[in-house]
Amino acid sequence: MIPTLLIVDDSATIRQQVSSALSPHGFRVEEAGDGKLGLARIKDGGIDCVICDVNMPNMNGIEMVEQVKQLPEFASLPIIMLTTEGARELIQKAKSAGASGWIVKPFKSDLLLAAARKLTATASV
Amino acid sequence: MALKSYEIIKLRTKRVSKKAENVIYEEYESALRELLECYVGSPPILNDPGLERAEAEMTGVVGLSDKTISGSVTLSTCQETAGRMAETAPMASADWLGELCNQLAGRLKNKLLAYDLCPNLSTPAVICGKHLRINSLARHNYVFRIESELGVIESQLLLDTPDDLELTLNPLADAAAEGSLQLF
Repeated sequence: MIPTLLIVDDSATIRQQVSSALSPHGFRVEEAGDGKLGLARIKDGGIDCVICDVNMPNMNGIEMVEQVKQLPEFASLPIIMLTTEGARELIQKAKSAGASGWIVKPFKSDLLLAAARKLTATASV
Repeated sequence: MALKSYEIIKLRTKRVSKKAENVIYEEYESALRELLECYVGSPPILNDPGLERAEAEMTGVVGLSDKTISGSVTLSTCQETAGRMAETAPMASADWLGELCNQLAGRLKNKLLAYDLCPNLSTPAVICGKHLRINSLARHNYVFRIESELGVIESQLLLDTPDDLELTLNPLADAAAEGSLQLF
């Protein structure tokens, strides 16, 4: 089955870059423009892995992770943060909220692909 | 005469304080240089205050503030150059300029963490239009002009810092490196 990945970022260009990096490698990529839209899409079901920015309007990425992890049916959904932020305190906060990983922009396509493959494989076990 | 061990420790841990605006200026220039290396190669960065300002058509802005400092960072360029920079998404040049500005502010923040400053960043905004000038009451206003192969890009750092604020590099404070991946 083709894994479906959701990219949540307020930059359309970043969403397109993530899609271009993963789509040719067997991922179906869907997009959401902020945490609120991302949460709504996750609740609809069918998402295997999420890549999520931190600083976004309406709902930031860490708030979104917290809300997703409170939903029992999505508590094990892997979420990787993709952000310009590198503060250890913030990384710890995301980890505590239930995030699965942290990538500091600009991202390397091969690293993103490796992380997505690893987390979707883990999630499907 | 050989140094005693406590003298060596003292030398190794000697912490030099510098005026905040000087530290932030230097770190901003470094962040700008690194960002440009990622996306437009290594063009020279000019920061002569007497430079004639480039005519920009779009400007990306990100605000930053913490308990002691506040300011904003901008990237400005013309439509054509922004389009060339957004090679992966030519229809979204304004969006890409905002994202670049976001990455510039993020890099600056990551560098300032080493001085125990942790500014909050706004989400980026992009303003489009000709003959735009930013009027600000900020105490420090630094302009950088980048003449790259893709065209001229201008960057501005507006900064307010208290007169007496000095910053010291904290060797124990750092940030995750750009491009790095951590899986928990």
